[in-house]
Amino acid sequence: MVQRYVLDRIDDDRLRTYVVWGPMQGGETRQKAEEATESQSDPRATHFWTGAQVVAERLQGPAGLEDELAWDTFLLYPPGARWEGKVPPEPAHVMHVGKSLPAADRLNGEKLYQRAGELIETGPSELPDAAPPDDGPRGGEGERGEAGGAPPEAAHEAPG
Amino acid sequence: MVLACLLAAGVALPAAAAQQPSPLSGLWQGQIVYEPAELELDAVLELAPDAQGRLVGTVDIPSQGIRYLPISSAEVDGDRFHVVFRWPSELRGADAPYEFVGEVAEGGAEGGEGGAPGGKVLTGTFIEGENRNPFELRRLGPAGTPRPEVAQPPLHDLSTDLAELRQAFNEDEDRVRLVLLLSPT
Repeated sequence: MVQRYVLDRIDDDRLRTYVVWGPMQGGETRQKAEEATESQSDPRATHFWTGAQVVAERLQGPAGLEDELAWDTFLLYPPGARWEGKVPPEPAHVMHVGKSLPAADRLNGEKLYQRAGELIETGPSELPDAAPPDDGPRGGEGERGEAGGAPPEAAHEAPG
Repeated sequence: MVLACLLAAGVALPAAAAQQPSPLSGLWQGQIVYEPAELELDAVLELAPDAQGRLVGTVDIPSQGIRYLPISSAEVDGDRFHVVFRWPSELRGADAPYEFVGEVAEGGAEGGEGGAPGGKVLTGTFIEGENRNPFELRRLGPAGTPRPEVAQPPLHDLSTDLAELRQAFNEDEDRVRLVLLLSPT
C-alpha cells in the first residue's frame, strides 16, 4: 500500500520510510520479515526487524494509543522533527489499522499520499522535539473508540 | 503442474500450446480490493493452455504467502472466465476454494494488444466463501513473460534501545519521514 500509493507516486528524495517488522501477532519470524521487505523495495525505505515489543511500546504515546501497542500504525513526521531521548517525537499525522483511534485516520493510501505530499511542500514545522514523558494519547479530531482497519470479512477470510 | 513450473521459471511455451490462443492466456498482475486505498492485496495470475488446450497456471498473492500456487481449474466462455485455486482458510478448512470470476475487458476476447490473444484487463469478483470483493488484473504479456524484478532490501536488526531507528530518523532530519510498525505475516 505504502509503496504503490506513496513511494511510487512521490518521486522525491525528501521522503523516507522506516519499516519496523515485528511480533504483532506472535508467530512472526525474521525470515518472514526478510520476505516482506519486498513490499517496500524503494531505496528510500529502510527496513528493521525486532523480536521485542519495545518499539511498539515507545511509539504508543506518539501514536495516541492508550492501551494498545503501536503495531499497524503509520507515523508521519515533517522535516525538522528530531528524536531525542527514549520516546520519539509527536508526529504530524498518524494513520492506523484497527486501532481505537479516529476512524478518519484509518490507513488510506490516498490520504497518506496527500499528507506526505503536503509535508514535503510545506517544509519544517514547529513541532516539539520529543513527546513529554507523561504524554498521554493524542487528542483526536474525530470520534474515538471506533475501530478502523480491515473489514471483518477481509481480516478473517483473506487467504492465509 | 509441470507447465506451472515452466511458467514459474519463465521457460518459453511449447509451440503447440502457443498455437492455441485463449483470451485468458498471459501474465496478469493487479489487486484484489477489499477496501479501496485501505486494504488491497497484490495478485498475479499466469495462465496458458497445455498441449490438450486446457488452461493451466499459477496464482500469487504475496502478502498471504501464496507464490506460484498451481490453480485448480480455469474455464473460459467468451469474455467470461472462472479460475479456482485452493488454499487453507481459518474458517473454511485446509483446502478451501478461492475463485476469480469475471470478464476480459478492454478489447474483449477477440483481440488483444499487438495481436496477443484476449484483452488487456481481467475484472471481476474474487470469491472466498460468502465474501466477494472486486479485482482488476492487467496483462503484462504472454505467459512466460519475465516478471518485474523486485529487489529484496536489507533488513537491519533493531536493538532494544532503538538506536538504529533513532539514528536513521535524525540523520534524515531535513526530510519527511514515515515510520511504520508492521507484522510480516
